[in-house]
Amino acid sequence: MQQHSSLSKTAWLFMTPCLLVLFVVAAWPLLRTFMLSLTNARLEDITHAQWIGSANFRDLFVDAEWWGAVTNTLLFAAFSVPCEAILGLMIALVLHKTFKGRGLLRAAVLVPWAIPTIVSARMWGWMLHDVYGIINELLVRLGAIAAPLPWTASPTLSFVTIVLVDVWKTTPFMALLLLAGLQALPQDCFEAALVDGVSRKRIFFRITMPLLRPTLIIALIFRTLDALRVFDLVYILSSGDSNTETMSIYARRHFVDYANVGYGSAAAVCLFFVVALVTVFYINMGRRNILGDA
Amino acid sequence: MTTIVLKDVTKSFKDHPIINGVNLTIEGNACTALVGPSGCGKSTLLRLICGLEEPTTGEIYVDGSCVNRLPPVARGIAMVFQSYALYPHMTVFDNMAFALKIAGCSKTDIARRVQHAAKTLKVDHLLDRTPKQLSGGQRQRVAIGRAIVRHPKAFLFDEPLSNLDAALRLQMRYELARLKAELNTTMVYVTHDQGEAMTLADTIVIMREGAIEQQGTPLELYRSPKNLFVASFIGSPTMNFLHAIIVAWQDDQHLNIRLRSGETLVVQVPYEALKWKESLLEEGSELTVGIRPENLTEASSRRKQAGTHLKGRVSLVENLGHEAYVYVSLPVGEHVKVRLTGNCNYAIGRDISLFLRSEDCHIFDSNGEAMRGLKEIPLC
Amino acid sequence: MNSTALVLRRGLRRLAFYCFCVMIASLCLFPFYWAVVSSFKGGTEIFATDLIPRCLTWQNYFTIFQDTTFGYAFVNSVIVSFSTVSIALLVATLASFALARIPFRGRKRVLCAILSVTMFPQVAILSGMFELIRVLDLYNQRSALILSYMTMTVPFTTWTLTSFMREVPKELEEAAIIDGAGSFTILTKIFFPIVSPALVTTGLLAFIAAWNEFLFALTFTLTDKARTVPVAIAMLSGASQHELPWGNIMAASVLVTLPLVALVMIFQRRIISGLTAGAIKG
Repeated sequence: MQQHSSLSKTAWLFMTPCLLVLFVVAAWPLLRTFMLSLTNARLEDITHAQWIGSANFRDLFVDAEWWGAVTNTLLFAAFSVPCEAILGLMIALVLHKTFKGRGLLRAAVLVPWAIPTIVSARMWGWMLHDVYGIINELLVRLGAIAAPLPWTASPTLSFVTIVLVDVWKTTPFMALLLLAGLQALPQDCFEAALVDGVSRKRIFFRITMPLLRPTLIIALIFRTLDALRVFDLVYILSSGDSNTETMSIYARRHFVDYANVGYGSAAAVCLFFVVALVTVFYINMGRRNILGDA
Repeated sequence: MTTIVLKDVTKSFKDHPIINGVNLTIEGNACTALVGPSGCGKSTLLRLICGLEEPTTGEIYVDGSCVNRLPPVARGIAMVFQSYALYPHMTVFDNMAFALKIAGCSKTDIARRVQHAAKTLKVDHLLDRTPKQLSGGQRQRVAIGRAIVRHPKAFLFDEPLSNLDAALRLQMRYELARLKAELNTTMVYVTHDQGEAMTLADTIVIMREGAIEQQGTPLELYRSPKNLFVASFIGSPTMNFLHAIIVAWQDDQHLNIRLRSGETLVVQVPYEALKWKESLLEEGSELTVGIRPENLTEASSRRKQAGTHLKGRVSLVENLGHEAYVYVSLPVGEHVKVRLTGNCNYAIGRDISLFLRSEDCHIFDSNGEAMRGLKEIPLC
Repeated sequence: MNSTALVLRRGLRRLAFYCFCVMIASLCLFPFYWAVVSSFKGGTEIFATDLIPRCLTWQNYFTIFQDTTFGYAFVNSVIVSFSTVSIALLVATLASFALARIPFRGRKRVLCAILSVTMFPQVAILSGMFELIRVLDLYNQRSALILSYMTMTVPFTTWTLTSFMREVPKELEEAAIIDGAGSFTILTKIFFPIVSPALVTTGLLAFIAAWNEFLFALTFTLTDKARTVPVAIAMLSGASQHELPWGNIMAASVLVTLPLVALVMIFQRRIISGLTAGAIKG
């Protein structure tokens, strides 16, 4: 027993720096954000604030802009994540095959993931420029559209643009996760099915998909949480436009631009709970799947 | 000369008992093999001895002093792992020198000891290589070398040969036997292969479900297995078992029994020694007769032999060239294996008559306990 | 007859497959290609939509370096990213060894806590972090960014390294214990060298995350002297909102992305293994 307790002492010793850092940069700021959301703190002097209870939240819940931001964020997640999952799965299936140039394709697929979000937002902003953008030019030349489209200016179209760029940027991540999942599947299962003469389509839906489900759920969790906190892409592609504003942008706008720390914190706290709720939902779904399979 | 003593040792993982009260004395300067089916706790026992696990209750003594609270290194025991566990990023030299460096040996001392061990194991030309560049047998030697350099009080081997292919395994088995003679220290050897245990060990400890079934020299276990489990575990091919019942006691030394097939035979059983379990010795009680494949012979048609004959039909022949294992089905639904040498031309379906001598028979009561050993009876 | 049809069909299927591959690759690469092309176009040439530029000029690149803004930002990004990664790796290596290899009470809870930190939205700690930075008097300094980047990199690297450390066979550790090594020696002499490729991978991913970070960099800096590249690019603007200096923006974008693209090409396999190591076993 002596050995055991000394081992666990070593473990805690090894973890001390990590836990200390996490406390300082995560737990404490989070706690403070929760506390600040109940005050009327201003950016100029955060520490001297008055306790105002749930007033910030009451204001937040009657603000139409806030509900617009909530809707935008949820819609954004609801559109972009499934698109990414389907496209990611397709790319993963392609990359799972062995063919000449697979390494090159895999590297190419990684490029959008590595490009900073800001940069990709700028690149697409330029390509989708309403007057000089190459995409409008190409589409007009191909005859797909009659006149150039205001991709980043019109409210509905800019939402489409944001989803599109996000899909472009994050599908690779999805594809690589799913590819790893595919490669981890037991190969003999597929060989057995092929030998038994099962059609490829059937193999995909009856064997590949059920086996891939745990990986798919994990990938969906990661991506959904990412989508819910989206900030930089929207910030660059349509800054200041409340039609596409997300919860993160709303919170930061009130926090920095209006210097209303208390109110901004309240919005951030709400976002935090939305994310927590979605996580719990997914985890429960995953558990039910596991039980169902067993 | 290091003796290891285990006293009432138990070990459980999360209320799941693995070792159930083991008392064991491992003699110095000898090789003790722990054998048993997988999951019997033999590897756990080894890990308890070297200190990788702590016993839940009981004490472990090395040279008379309790080592329960000592960390592995302070016990002065070296271990060779099944997977060799060579440090992949170090050269062979560094692998062997690692323990010495930690112990703070001088550089010249380390070099001398590593060189010496490497020479003993014939890996001195590989010292600059990394484990990846070695063959399976070479890795095995380096793993042993890593143990040797420390001059440990005892060596523990955890299934050291099971990762090698069949040919290499035989060669390494021979090498280990040579090494054992050369090192002349205490060795504990875990294996599930009874053949390895029989050839390498001075003492064999047979384990089942976390307890020791029997301990003894290879020949003792071969000749007088204590129970059906040991009898079926030692010897290859395994012992044949036939059902029988007690007909009558001829006198206090001899018992008349009848096999299921109707043959009767008289076996020598010391009644006095077994008196305490009288109820199992009554007339009509069931028995199991064990007979090794090598103790059955084909009955000669020309000359009549005194003893019991079993009539059956050849159902399968495994011909190995110099000998054959013939599977014979008896009319009553039982089967026996026979090891036959010489002319091994047995057609499947052929009738065969087997001859068995009553002094070769192991007799087990209905609880599976042996009623006598074969030790007292001279082997021919 | 039948066999030639079969061969033809197989050939067509293969052609379609390769077309699909080419389509994926061009969709992934075209925006970057277009940025490169645009960055080499000077003056009004940039508004031309030829896929291959007629004449190349370095003018945009000269312009962004004439102004000190971008140079500062580049240096800041390098310093901040490298410091973040080094600290995170140091802290995470120690912690992940304990989490992966030493059984102790509360291990699962610590892992859960670490995972949940990687998942929560950065905005949720924005005001708390802002207050902390103000109190520590780090506002508009690189150290403010290094501190705040710990929020994402430390849990991420710890989580990923833990899954890498778990893959080291237990026997190696036990052999070292029997050889007399203590926990710290096992970590430095056995685990550290064995998982060093994983350290490179994890460090790379953390580096990319730090290099690309925007929200904290935008919020915790005020002047050009402290800004990082993403913020600098976001701030590059012309006379009015509708007259963005696209040539300069593209040149800066290319410069920022080039190191990352190079890293991705060189460490392709490792990056993939790192991305998936943390996720698959989650």
